[in-house]
Amino acid sequence: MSVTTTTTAAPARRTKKKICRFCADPHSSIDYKEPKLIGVFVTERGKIIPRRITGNCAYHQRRMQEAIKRARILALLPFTTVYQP
Amino acid sequence: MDENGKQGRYETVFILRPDLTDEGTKKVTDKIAELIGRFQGQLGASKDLGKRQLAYRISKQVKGHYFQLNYRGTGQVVEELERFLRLSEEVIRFLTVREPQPQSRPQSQAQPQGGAA
Repeated sequence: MSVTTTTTAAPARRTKKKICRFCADPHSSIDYKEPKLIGVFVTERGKIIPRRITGNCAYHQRRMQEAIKRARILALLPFTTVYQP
Repeated sequence: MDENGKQGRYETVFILRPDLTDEGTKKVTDKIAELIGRFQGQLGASKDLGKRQLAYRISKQVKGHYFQLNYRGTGQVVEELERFLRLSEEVIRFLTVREPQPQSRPQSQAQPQGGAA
C-alpha cells in the first residue's frame, strides 16, 4: 500500500540534549538497595521510564533496568500500583 | 566457573518478618553464619538495613526487616544458603546476586562529551 504521508513536515523540534547523570558524576553508582535513587527512574505506576526521557546513556540505562528489577523483587519498588489486594 | 572449588563473591539480601524478636533474628543470622562456615565460605560484611515498608504485601506483611550479607564461597554455599532461606518461615523474601564490582565501564565509547550545547 502506498501510503504517502502528506502531512506537512512539522518543524524539527530540537530539545536540549540531556546528559546521562551517571556519566556526569563518575562517583555515582546504581545500587538496587537504594529505592530513593532508583525510584526516580520509575513512573508513578511503577513503570521504567525510557531513556529518551531520562537522558540515561545505554550503558547506565541497562544498569538501571537491572537495579529496578532487583528492587522490585525485594519489595523496595512496586511492580505495579494499580492492583492492590 | 564454580567447578574446581572456585570461589565467587556474592551478596544476599533477605527480609525477615518484622514481628520477630531480637532473639529470633539472631537465631537466623547465627544459623546463616554457621552454614556459610560449614561450606568453607568466608562471611564478609553483614549489615542490618533496618525495618522498611514493603512496596507490596508479602506473606500478609506490610513491613520487613532487611539484612544484607556479603560473602565468598563456591556455588555450593549459595545453594545451601538459599535452600535454608527458602525453608525458614521467618524469611519472607531473599535475593542473591554476584557482588557488584566497582568496575569501570568499557572505555571505547565512554567519555560523555560535556559539550551538550
